[in-house]
Amino acid sequence: MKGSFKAKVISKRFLSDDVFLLKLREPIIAEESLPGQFVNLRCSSIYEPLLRRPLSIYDVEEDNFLLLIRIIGKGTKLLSLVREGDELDVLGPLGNPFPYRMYKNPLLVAGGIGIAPLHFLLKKLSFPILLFGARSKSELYGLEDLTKIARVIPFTEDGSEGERGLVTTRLKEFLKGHDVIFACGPMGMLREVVTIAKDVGVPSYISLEERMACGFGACLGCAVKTKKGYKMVCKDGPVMPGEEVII
Amino acid sequence: MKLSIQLGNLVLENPIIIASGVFSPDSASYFPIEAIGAIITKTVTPRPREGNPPPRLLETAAGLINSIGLQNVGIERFIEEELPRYMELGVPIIVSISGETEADFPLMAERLRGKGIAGIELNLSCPNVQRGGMHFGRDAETVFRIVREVKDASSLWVMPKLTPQARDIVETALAGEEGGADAISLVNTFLAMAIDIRARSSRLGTLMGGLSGPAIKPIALRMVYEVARAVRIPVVGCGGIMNAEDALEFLIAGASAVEIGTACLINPSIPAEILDGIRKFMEEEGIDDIRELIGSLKIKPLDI
Ligand SMILES: Cc1cc2nc3c(=O)[nH]c(=O)nc-3n(C[C@H](O)[C@H](O)[C@H](O)COP(=O)(O)OP(=O)(O)OC[C@H]3O[C@@H](n4cnc5c(N)ncnc54)[C@H](O)[C@@H]3O)c2cc1C
Ligand SMILES: Cc1cc2nc3c(=O)[nH]c(=O)nc-3n(C[C@H](O)[C@H](O)[C@H](O)COP(=O)(O)O)c2cc1C
Ligand code: FES
Repeated sequence: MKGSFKAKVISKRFLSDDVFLLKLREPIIAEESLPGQFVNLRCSSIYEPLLRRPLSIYDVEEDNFLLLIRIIGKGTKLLSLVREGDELDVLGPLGNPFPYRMYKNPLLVAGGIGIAPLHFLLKKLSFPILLFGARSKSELYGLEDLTKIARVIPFTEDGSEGERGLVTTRLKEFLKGHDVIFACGPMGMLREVVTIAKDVGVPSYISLEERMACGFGACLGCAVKTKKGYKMVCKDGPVMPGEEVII
Repeated sequence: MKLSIQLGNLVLENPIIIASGVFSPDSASYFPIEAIGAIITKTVTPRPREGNPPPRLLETAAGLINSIGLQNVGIERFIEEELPRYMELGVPIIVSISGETEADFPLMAERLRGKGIAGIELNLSCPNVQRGGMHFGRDAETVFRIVREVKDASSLWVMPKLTPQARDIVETALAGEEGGADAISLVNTFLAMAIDIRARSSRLGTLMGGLSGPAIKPIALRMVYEVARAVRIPVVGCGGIMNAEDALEFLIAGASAVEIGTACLINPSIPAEILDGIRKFMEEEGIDDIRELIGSLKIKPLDI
């Protein structure tokens, strides 16, 4: 039986006012996780908030796995308060990874907190190109570390780092020579990525978000419309072919 | 220690039943199958249904509103593809059925004959298209007719699942009993809403959804108590059961078994934890047979 795990908090490090890295210890999750997969986490030991919260796997290090979390509500706020040594109830790894072994030369596109699953993916590739966009410099989470493992091209809307503008503005140019796009970020960005990929005729895989309850395909709650009808983000995704999703 | 219970002529090893809509054969590996008394399938309908537009879920205070929209592959593909996978689990399988018209129910029951299932649960919390979309379970007369027609059409064990939207839940339960039901289950979700105040629109893909989880437990418990007191057939309690204490409350209120819904989505190993908790409680209380607990509520004279 694939039960949930009690993962111990190893460390917590804030990258900005509202974004932090959480390192948790659970050898099985660390061993089994693939880039693009997520865990579903209880934010407290009581049923408040009631549901688990889905979070992408940001990295694995030996027996540990890391999450990059942005505080946007009560669940993520509670997670930001955990201390070293605390135990969290974690279900995972869940969902399908990026099919990175099927392609030779992927182009990665991340928007803001969407860097989380792509960071893990980067580590499996050999110095790929990453287009990384955000509103401003402070939201290019972990930029410095990323430049050690990828050729990062930053974009900010306010011009505080890299090129001014959206990450998709020069996507077409950058796409030359690549055989696939792997992307994660806000809906608007993903829509643009898929449109451009279709134009150029390159496949794209995007990591989607939808409100979830179970995270393992039982409740049919996390539906997203696709050309083949509704699919479940948790079980059929969260990584899905851009051409199939109707967003 | 005896944990087995009887729902009419259906005997379960223990009183923990997985409620409809929170389990699929694909997700079976997350559940402690050996600790489960019975599994109720996701509701199946005569024809395939693609389900409601997203968002289909919304968390509220101690609750979950869902508007899944009975997404399912339809009875034919269900029998062909899904039912065999349920049957492989080695746990009594109760198939939840629903229809668009009253006549759909007996037709579906007939299709399910001879398939080795433990029985049928009638999901009456869905719109009757011939009556302006009013839920079948609102009206006692309708419940009576559906149960009787299903019983006439098949020799299967039948349990109508009452909706808390029933005009009178006790009357509806009595109608089910009169129609020939083998047991009664209650409750399904409470019709609920949530509004995005900036967009002035529903926070779900549909206007309304069904509320489940701890928020509904006290009301569900009261309804189960009232129904259990009124009918002679066994009652299966459901609504917001999150732990062994909750389950025990339902048993003491008169339920012979309990269905666990939302809690399975948060913690699929919960059936085993609840069963363990019940065992421990029985040990502490020196109770040897779980049936001693059923309906053991003591009532102060003033309450009557
Ligand atoms: C597969 C998957 C992977 C994810 N990976 C990450 C990750 O790596 N890092 C990370 O920080 N987040 C990630 N998320 C999003 C994360 O799950 C949500 O931010 C979290 O559930 C919010 O919980 P909360 O209790 O803090 O907020 P809530 O109190 O539930 O919500 C606060 C407010 O934010 C809104 N909201 C809730 N969820 C979202 C959302 N997904 N997008 C936009 N608005 C939302 C709510 O409607 C509400 O208005 C992921 C989501 C999915 C589905
Ligand atoms: C996501 C979800 C899907 C559900 N689907 C069904 C269904 O298909 N048929 C049904 O009769 N009840 C369905 N229910 C209702 C549950 O079976 C149960 O009656 C209700 O949720 C109350 O119990 P709970 O508080 O333990 O969840 C569903 C509930 C949830 C949360
Ligand atoms: S969250 Fe339950 S099916 Fe995806």
